[in-house]
Amino acid sequence: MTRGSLTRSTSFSSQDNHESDSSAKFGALLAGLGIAALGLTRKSATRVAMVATGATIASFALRDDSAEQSQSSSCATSSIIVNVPRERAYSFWRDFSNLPQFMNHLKSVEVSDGRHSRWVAYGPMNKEIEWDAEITDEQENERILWQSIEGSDISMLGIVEFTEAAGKRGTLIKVNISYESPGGALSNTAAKLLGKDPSFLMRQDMRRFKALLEAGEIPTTEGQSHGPRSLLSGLFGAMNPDEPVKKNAGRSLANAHKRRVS
Amino acid sequence: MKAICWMGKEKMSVEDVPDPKILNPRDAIIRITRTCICGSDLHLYNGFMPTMEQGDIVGHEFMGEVVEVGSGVNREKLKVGDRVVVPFTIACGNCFFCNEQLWSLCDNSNPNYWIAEEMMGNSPSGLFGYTHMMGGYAGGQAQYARVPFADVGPLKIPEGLSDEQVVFLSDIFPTGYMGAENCNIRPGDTVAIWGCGPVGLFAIKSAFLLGAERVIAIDRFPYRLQRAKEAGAETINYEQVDDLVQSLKDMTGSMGPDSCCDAVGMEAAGHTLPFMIDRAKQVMRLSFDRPNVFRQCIMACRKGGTISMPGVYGGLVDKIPLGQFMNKGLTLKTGQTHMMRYMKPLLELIEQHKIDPSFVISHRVSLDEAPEMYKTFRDKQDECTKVVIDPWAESKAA
Ligand SMILES: NC(=O)c1ccc[n+]([C@@H]2O[C@H](COP(=O)([O-])OP(=O)(O)OC[C@H]3O[C@@H](n4cnc5c(N)ncnc54)[C@H](O)[C@@H]3O)[C@@H](O)[C@H]2O)c1
Ligand SMILES: [Zn+2]
Ligand SMILES: [Zn+2]
Repeated sequence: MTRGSLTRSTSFSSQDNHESDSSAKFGALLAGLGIAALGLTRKSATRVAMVATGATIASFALRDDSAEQSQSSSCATSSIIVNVPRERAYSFWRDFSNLPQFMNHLKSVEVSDGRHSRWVAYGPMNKEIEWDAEITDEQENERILWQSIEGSDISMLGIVEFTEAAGKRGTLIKVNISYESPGGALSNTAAKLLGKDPSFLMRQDMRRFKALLEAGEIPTTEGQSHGPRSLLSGLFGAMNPDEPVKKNAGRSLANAHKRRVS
Repeated sequence: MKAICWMGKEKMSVEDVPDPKILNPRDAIIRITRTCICGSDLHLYNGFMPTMEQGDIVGHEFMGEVVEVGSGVNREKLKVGDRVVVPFTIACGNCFFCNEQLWSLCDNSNPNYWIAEEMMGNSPSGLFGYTHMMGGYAGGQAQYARVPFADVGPLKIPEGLSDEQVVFLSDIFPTGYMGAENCNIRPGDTVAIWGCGPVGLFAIKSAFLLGAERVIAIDRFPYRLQRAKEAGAETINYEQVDDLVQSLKDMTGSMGPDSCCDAVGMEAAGHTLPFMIDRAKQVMRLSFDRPNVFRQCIMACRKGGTISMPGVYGGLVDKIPLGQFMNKGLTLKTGQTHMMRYMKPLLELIEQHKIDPSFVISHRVSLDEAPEMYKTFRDKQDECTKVVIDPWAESKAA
């Protein structure tokens, strides 16, 4: 894929993969246990692996997996209404150093000047991926377009749009982020093992963005008390497709025993 | 601290767990002085609610004293030392839904939003101690609890009122009240209420407060029907009538009750054929719910009437007489209770001595005795209506 084709893919077309109808989801649930409830998401199979990093960025490659392909790409879209004025939503996003607060796959974004920033993301196999990005177009309180600079290990193109939501409900935010790996940073096989629905992960990012702006914090239960867990519960956590990659310690199956108290 | 944990179907146990910590800026920690077992907890106990994990701390009806507040809590609204009742729904106070007073539908309080979103299209608010789908928050059948968005939910209690008078503001009193409000009562109306548990009993009292002329209460346990009678209702023991719907029509000049309230929910008892099929499906985990009460509500309700459903359901149900519902022009109102809408006005009713909610209490126990009380309450033994727990009491049993 060339950068040109990547650019074309930034229109807000719905990229969601066909989801099974709700009764099928229920079918999965009916197996009774919480595990089953988690089994109803995504297209199954590689989920556990996906959790290992669980990130949008780490999830590319799965859309076209022909063996010959030496590069891979993913495109995530989402939209959400946030009950704050447009200026607030825009300025929070415009300061890219805020993004890791709600985008779980990002470790940090350092803003070097008005247009340039350095991005560090959690990649597969505990590898970190870094690149530089620049803002290529922006319209205050309306739109930001940014992209990785030529020659980076990863090509990224992001566009976010802010419009007034109907009915004075705040700001409608639409975002589309595409990643493309020209083979370097990720081997195809590694990438294939990872998550597969970037738009799902993006939706979770956007939920966190909304909570952060509306409620001032992201709801969590990480670190709360509980009684003795079973091995099954460890799996429950490990299978969570929204697993924050930052905090993977203590959530994986291997660490299930550490979460027990007695 | 000590806490009651769900350890599997029909297994509740008292466990020693770490004290809760502040995890988010708007959290507070409450030292619990009274906590209760709810009919909703029985759905967990019986294993009918998906997404429970072994070790989850249960309980969502609690009150106590604020012992710690996070840096983001508005101190004018809540500070250390305040005595508060905590609502079972968790709400941020700032989203569209909170602004619309639809507190149990808050958009920002469920960390596991996606699970509920997969199942229902969107997620309701987070709840204390009530499945991972509803947030997986540790509950309040414990000595301490962490309360998120603590400057929104907890209601300060003035001096002079005992814990037992106000603790039910945490759930069942507002729930019964909203159940009655959702009946859309006009003066002179007749309201039929299925279930004379705590929710049903509060719905009966509230229906009268809201102007109902007659309330007909339905259950099968004589001691519960007796309580309904004391609250002013006419009663029907559904096990002693051939055809409940016909009985209701006979009592209302063939019209049917103006409103029907399902205060039973997903675990309705029964003996009809559709019930047997529901029951079998539920046991096989093909369905969560036994909607026979809801079916009866549709059949009994007068044309153009309203059905209110405070009873909790889990998912898909079969054989709902939808054509009947449509052709009779009925209205259905339901939902988890929008707690913060009702807590303050209902506290005022208590202060004005218009109602003393402690009338529902049948058992007062310690935490150690609580797991056993799940069974007693479930099986309606020992005339059990409502169990209140003092988490600091020494166990009576040697
Ligand atoms: N909407 C909410 O926010 C909310 C809050 C609290 C409780 N609830 C729900 O309300 C319901 C009642 O709670 P509770 O604490 O009173 O429980 P409970 O178990 O004490 O009472 C239920 C009563 O229903 C009766 N019953 C069972 N089958 C019946 C039938 N076929 N016809 C008539 N009566 C029947 C039982 O005999 C029992 O007395 C539960 O489903 C609970 O989950 C909802
Ligand atoms: Zn309850
Ligand atoms: Zn809210």
